[in-house]
Amino acid sequence: MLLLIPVLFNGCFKDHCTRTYTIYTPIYKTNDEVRANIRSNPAREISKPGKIYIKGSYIFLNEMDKGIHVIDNSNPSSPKNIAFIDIPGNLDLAAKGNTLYADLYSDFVTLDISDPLNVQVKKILDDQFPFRRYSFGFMPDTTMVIVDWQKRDTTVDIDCNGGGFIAWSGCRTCSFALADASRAAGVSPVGMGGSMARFSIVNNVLYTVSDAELKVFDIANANNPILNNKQTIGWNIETIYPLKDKLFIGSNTGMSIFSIANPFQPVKQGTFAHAFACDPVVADDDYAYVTLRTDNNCRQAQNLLDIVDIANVMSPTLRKSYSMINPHGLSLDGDLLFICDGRAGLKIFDVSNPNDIKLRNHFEGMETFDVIAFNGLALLVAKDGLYQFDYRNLNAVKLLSKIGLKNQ
Amino acid sequence: MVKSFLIVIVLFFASFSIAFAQEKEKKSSCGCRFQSVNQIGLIDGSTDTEFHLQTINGLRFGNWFTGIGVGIDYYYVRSVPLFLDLRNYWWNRRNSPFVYGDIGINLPWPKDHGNDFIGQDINYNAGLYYDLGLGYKLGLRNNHALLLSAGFNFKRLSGERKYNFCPFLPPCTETSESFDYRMKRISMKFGWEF
Repeated sequence: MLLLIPVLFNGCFKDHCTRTYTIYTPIYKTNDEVRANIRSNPAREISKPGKIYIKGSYIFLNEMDKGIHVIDNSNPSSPKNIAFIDIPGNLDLAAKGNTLYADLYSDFVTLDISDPLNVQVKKILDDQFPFRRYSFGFMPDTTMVIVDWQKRDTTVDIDCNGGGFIAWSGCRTCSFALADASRAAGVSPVGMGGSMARFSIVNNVLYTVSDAELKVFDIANANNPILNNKQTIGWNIETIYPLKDKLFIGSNTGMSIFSIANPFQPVKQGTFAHAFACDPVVADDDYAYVTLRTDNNCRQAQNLLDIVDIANVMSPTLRKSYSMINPHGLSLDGDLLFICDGRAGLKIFDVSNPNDIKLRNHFEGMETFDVIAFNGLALLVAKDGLYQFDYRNLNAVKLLSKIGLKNQ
Repeated sequence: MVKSFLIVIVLFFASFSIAFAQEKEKKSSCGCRFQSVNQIGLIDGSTDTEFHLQTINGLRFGNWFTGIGVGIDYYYVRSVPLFLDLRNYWWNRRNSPFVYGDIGINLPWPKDHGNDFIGQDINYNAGLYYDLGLGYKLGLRNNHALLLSAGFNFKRLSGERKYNFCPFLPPCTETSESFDYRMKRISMKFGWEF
């Protein structure tokens, strides 16, 4: 009799499974409203710091998908957040002289920053970055721009048998690099960016990479960039880093070296392949330094620093790999390599001997994203804000300042 | 966490081993005696059908028994129920029907952490556990008996995970989701009491 119970009553009981998650609903403004508001607006607190650019005594810090913070860094011990340039969809930036170039989703914005407190729009080129048309799966029509997202937690019933949410991850780590003033021979000083860059300026040319394309803009007339050339260079392109007459372009599957001896006709010279990973890159005359990391978007790989011998750019070879925790952006100043090792903090290595690099300093307690190190000053973008370190004395590297995030 | 569960299970099996050695001891002055109930069975629900096993050790007062139980439940997400048990034998005979009720907590002990397309582990949290049912005792010698029982069994687990969500294009955003599992099953058990 007891054994009949499951037969008789099984249909009466049903498992109940639920999932609670956040729904994002876009908030729109018209194109005209958005473009009219691209100017130096009152400063706002940093919330989601992204890529960083230094121009003279100013720091231009991307607020992911929102715009650019203008920070007066004339005193690195006391930086001042002085203005915010509203650019919805902005992720990348580069500057040359008094001109700042930025993306607004798929559009390309040129700004006069001669007076950072009174930034002026000089030109907007529509749809230069078509891979940015979509955001969170939405495709606004051409008259509207997504300026924000409304978040709402919701609970739904799911099939206990494994149905429910399937994530679709297609993001790639964004990064852009900018030539620093000392490497861009002569000419108008361009600003300096971190290694996680997609925009890069060399002399009077702006190079941008999308997920598959390399575009070349003539910026001889700084306020009037003109698309000169574009070429498909692969898949899952992530970063670009210039060094003299070379571009180092990182992708999920490797690093490629392009010659820009003819600035408007980049020519691929060599490739260093690696396992599927996200990889920012910096380089000097002899070696390229590539960090590889795994996360939800970088699939299966290891967390490494690869040092690649580029003496023969046609055939770069791995010199040595070093294990890391969660490496992101990096920066090179002489024999000092600064690595943002994600949740493991900032690490400073002496790379004078690539076969045996030495850890000189390790700063923990922050989740690091990108770094620019130049002339004894390191600017570090971390999850909790913007740090500045004085590393002129490696035995006494000191924290100069920190601009924290909103609500911290 | 797993180590703690194993220690709990070992302690309970040790306790009834000691009790087994003491089973011939006469009733104490409270009129009660030690009793151990050890069961294995099936749990059947809309999502799964799995085995479960339990050991309950406590005191028998006349036709009443109360004890503390621990088990392993393999249904959906493996877990370790930890509960209080109360049962009443209807007749004061070797063979008797009985009614039982268990209530406690269900501690997660997952074999995997819900790895799916996201590839991020789910961290599970404990939830409510209870079981109510009927059974029949077939008496053997010296207070030993075989037990057959069936009833309604409920266990609850919750879980959460955080990950970077990158829908198609940048930026990625850290997001989190949580889950709630309420499992309503029929449990059938075959056991040995002494």
